[in-house]
Amino acid sequence: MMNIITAKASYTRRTFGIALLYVGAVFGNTALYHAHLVQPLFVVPLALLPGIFMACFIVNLLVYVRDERDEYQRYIIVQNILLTTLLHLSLLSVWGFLALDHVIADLPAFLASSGWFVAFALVTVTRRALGR
Amino acid sequence: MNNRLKVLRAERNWSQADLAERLGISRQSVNAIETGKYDPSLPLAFRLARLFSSPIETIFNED
Repeated sequence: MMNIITAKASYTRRTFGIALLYVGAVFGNTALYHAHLVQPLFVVPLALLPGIFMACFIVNLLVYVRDERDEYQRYIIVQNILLTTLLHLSLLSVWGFLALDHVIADLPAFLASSGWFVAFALVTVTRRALGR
Repeated sequence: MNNRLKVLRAERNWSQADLAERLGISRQSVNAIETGKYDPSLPLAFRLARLFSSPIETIFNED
């Protein structure tokens, strides 16, 4: 039982840490961009920063699935990941074509990745509330 | 797959949480197995069999 709590608690703790770094990187990048303060030399390193934190999110999820000792909980996590991907990719496809026809606004591409994690949180919370 | 987990647990006066603790899994997992929402892996089925001192086929059977 201790291991179950530890795996979930560690995952949650790491998620908050990475989320803070990711939000800081996104807000920092956009603030610098709008203030025209980014030197050409730093464009690529600054763009890489949120990407690295996004990769950390996925690695964090992989570590959680690896460390979770309860097989049913692992099964639920994998189901949530697939459900999230289904919803997210479907919505992005629809959004992309509607934006192409100027029915809805264009969104910066980097929002798509953070959208996946928002959707993952929503799917997890909703399924837990529904007892699934 | 059907199982007699609820009966075996009741015979010992164990709650789902008691059984979960003995198996080192969550109460939600015990509930999912009992209600047939989830079929346990072979290692977990063996742990259940050992815990109840019964062969696997007397705990689980096909529909």
